[in-house]
Amino acid sequence: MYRTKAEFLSNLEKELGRLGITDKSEIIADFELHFADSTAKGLSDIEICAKLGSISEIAKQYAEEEIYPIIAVEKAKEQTAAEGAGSEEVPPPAAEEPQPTHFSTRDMPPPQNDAYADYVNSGIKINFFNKKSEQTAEAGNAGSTSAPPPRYNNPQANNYNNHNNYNNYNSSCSSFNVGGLITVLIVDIFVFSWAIPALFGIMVAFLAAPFGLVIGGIATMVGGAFGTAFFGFYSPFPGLVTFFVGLMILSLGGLFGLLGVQFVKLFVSAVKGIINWHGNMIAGRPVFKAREVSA
Amino acid sequence: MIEINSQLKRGTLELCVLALVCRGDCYGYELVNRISESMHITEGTIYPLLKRLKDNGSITSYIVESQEGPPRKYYQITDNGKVEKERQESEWREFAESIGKLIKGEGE
Repeated sequence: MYRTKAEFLSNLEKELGRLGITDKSEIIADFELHFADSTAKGLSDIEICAKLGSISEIAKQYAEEEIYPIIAVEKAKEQTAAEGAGSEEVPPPAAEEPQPTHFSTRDMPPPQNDAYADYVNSGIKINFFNKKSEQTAEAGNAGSTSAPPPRYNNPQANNYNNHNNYNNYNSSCSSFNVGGLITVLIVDIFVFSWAIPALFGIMVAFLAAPFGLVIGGIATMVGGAFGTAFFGFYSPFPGLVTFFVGLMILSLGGLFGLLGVQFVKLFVSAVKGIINWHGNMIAGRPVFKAREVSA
Repeated sequence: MIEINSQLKRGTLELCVLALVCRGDCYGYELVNRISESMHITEGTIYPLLKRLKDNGSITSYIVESQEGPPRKYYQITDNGKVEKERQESEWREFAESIGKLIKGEGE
């Protein structure tokens, strides 16, 4: 929950930018007017913010509006076609048609299209599926015979899928981003020539070190114990001291072992992050996930 | 003040805005106030809706400077908007009527 006008507006602007909305300044101006009018009516900033509701919800609605014109045009075409055919009395697809202006269909739950279902069922949290979903959608759009799922044959259903996918960020709407691709290639030169080998090297070192230290530690302890037992306390040098030095080396090995495990985790998550980032950059999606802003 | 299911509300909100603007030019904040007189809304949702209506040509907007207070952005219905309002209104009436029948248990 936001407390001041400035805080609300700057966060709204950030959120709008994150969703790739173009005419932010006009939207912000509308909300500035709203604040001005509400203040004139005697409301405090906190009250106004509370009444306005969640920023992420507002921004999401603007994002839906952005793709609306496309659907509106399609719909107008369909309507003129239907009227031209004189099928006014019984418009069969109208009931299931995704009409953003219609009061119920906009809010239906997202359809579990194949790519989405795969994503959910896979249990893998790497968002690298947009390629696949784009291809599937394309196949359906083209009406291709290469076995598209039946529901894609219906252009209206397609509209609907696109509309909802946009909200899911599992988007077939997101465009291919050339700038993103170039950035990815440049960064990849660094990543593959330096970062991954370096990280991998550190990981291997941290895994190898404990083996050496543990074996060395045990050998030293055994040596110390043997020395004490067979050659007396002072020969070749204090056996008990050697024994404890061995123990120290052994525990150092354990410590390095723990660090090594942490490094493996770090390495795995770094690789996952890199894969994720590639997908997001190329698809032109926002790279960082939204945090829910309002309380 | 009626509490309605939020999804239903969001859909009917558009018809309410169109109907209000049909009756005469309004500015954004006025719309917010008049709608919140009859139903509970999160006020922020009106503005995305107004933008959509403007983008699809149902309404237009113009700025009026005022002596006291900030300038106001007025919304005006277009011919397209009038048609759209009629369409949605009849759709709404049909819907309300059939739900009414269903609740009363007529036609069984």
